Amino acid sequence: MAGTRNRSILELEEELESHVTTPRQLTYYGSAPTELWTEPANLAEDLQDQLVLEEERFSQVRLLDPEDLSLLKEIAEGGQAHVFLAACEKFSTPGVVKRLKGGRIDLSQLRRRMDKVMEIVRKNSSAICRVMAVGEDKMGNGWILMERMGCDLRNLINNVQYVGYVEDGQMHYVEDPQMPFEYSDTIKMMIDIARGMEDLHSCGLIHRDLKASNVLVTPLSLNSCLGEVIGLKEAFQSLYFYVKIGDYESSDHVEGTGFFRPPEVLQALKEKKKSCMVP
Amino acid sequence: MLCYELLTRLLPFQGEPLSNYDRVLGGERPKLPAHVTSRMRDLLDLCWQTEPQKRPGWKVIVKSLEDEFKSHLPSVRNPHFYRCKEKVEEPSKESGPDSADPKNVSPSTGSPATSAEFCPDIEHQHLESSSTGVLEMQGPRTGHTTYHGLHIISEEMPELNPHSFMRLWYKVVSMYGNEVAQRVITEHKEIRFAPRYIVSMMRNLIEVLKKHALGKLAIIWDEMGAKTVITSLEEQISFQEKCVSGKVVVLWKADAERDITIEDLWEELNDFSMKLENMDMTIHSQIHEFIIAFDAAVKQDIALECSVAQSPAALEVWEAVIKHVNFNRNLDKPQQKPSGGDVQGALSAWQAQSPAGYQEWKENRMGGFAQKATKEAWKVAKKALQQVENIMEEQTVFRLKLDFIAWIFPLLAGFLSDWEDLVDKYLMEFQNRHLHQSSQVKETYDRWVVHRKQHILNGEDDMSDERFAEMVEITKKANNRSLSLEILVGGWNDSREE
Repeated sequence: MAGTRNRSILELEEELESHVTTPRQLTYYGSAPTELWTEPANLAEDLQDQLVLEEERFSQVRLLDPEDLSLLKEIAEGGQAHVFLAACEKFSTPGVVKRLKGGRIDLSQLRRRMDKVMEIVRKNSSAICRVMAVGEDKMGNGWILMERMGCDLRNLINNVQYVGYVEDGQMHYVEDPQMPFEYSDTIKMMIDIARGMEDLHSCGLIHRDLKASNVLVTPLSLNSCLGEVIGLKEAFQSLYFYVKIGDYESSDHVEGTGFFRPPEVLQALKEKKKSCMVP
Repeated sequence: MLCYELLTRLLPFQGEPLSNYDRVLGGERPKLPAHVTSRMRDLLDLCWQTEPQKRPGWKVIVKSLEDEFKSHLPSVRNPHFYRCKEKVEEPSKESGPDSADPKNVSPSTGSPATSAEFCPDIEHQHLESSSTGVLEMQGPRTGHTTYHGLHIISEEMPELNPHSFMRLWYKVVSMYGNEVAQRVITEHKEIRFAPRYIVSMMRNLIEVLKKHALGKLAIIWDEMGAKTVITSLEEQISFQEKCVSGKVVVLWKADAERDITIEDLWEELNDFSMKLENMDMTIHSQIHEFIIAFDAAVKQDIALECSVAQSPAALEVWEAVIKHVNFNRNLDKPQQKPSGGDVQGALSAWQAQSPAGYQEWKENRMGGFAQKATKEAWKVAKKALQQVENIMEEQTVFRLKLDFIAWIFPLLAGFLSDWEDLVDKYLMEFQNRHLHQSSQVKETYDRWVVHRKQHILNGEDDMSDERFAEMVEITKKANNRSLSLEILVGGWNDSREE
């Protein structure tokens, strides 16, 4: 204290002058200690981000307002729904939205049902496509925001050109193989799908239209740096495809597709009866 | 029928008119090619029974598929890769530069791999299906060696990358062993991710491992016993750790010499829980300390402002200075840089308006002194915060361990559901605590802003010499961390109430 008071006015004025000409030194003057706040603010943000991440994992299926969505483009249309690529600020993960056909829906029932499925997906890590939110527009059409996958399995089966494998440090290729995938990978996909179907059934959901084009896949794509290290950059594009069952959300009145249907359904159709709901 | 598609690439009765049900109703089924194993044939025959009652349930199907998988364990040293047909939009025009690119040549045949058009939806049209999430494939781009869906996914969905990367990473480690993985780690530092991704990525990894565990590893477990599983997992997990945190973290080490029992795991878990609890306590006290130090700093700051803001003219000086500061930090982005004359002018105005107040402020230089004191307090606050962060980082590792045990334990103990619930409960509790902590930090900030405004509006000045000396003392003590926190809090609360 005393030292401060003994300073001459001239010195003080010089100091003040230096403050004015180089305002950067005035960091601690007055308000806006922004630089100081960087750390605590980031800490809080980090925590918040982490919580949001966790929340997304643990929370229930949320309500979606279709007006919040910006539809990028329509990517598919089927018997039950239009499918769009969509962005929504409220959901950090990119997704696709389905606009269900067939008029007004019971939103609360749909949400309950999806909740049930997602609960089991979280519990068992089932190979079932994740539903993030459901909603309805003013017309009463149902909207479903789902996780986005690479493409469907039928598409992939049609387009796998060759299978390569490494033996004795050399890359070998099977051109136009009989099976689209290596046998153990094929069985692995089947197991995943069967487990997913088991879980769906345990939720009381009957799919009724299980076929490759209703199963979605995401490839295990290669990061370039790994390719370089392994030295096989051009040789392959994917190591494995992760499968998930799709199109299970509104399967109540689905009749199935062509010869994928069991004989009793075909029989019923033939006899012009109403679709029988046999699992 | 899906299995049929996967095994043969064909649709059931491909080429047959869709309305011709009689073949199926007459007992005919799709023909399976010779390469389908007898076990698989039997399973499909069962599934294609005419009587629904005779068809197996999903449990039976899963079981027999697992048996099939068991007898065809993939060779880990012979991984398989898939390459898709490439899409060519305008073969006559576009293929020129692409086929000239040697990288675009199919390695086996030496000819450009552009044999077929990529038509994703042809199959769908006659099936009248609805398909979800079909990612539209885009045309070729010059300069890209490959340009089918995979690339587009990685370009358009960067969010997916960490996750798919972890899956890939697992695959690489399991196929190529740790040597390659080590090379990747040392040569490519960009694969290290920010710590806050660790938890979510680890969860993903565990999901993937779970999948594999239910298939491949569960079988190894049956055949080779617990030790193998744990050793291989331990290796992989420790590699994951290295990968994500960029440094070697000593993970939970199972003693290789003894058999791991469920009791051992319980003990481990309890131990971790205890440590986690302790860390939580430490974090709490650290955050408390941070808040105290922060409060002290705020106190100095407010005092400083009050000392300036004795008169409206002084406030103008202060505002002019702030304008400068903000300009220098690019906060306000004004059209013109404020001239130093503003501050000088404001100072002169103040001097003219209340010479006594100006003189007193200038002589005492309380602002300058408070500034230093504030700096000290901020240092303490920042130091405390750093410690909090360190502990949080450490805690993340423990959470990873907990997650790991949460995964491995049900596997070993035969999926004890109540135990899983316990872990879930604990994790939820943990999250709630985090929420509490972050809200505390925010509250403090809000409180600070409100009080600062109040002090300025009221024109309060509690900067008597004694008071100031006391404050400096407090700051010093806080700096030395020798002050009883309660006293400081009490003092601060009292002064606030005044």
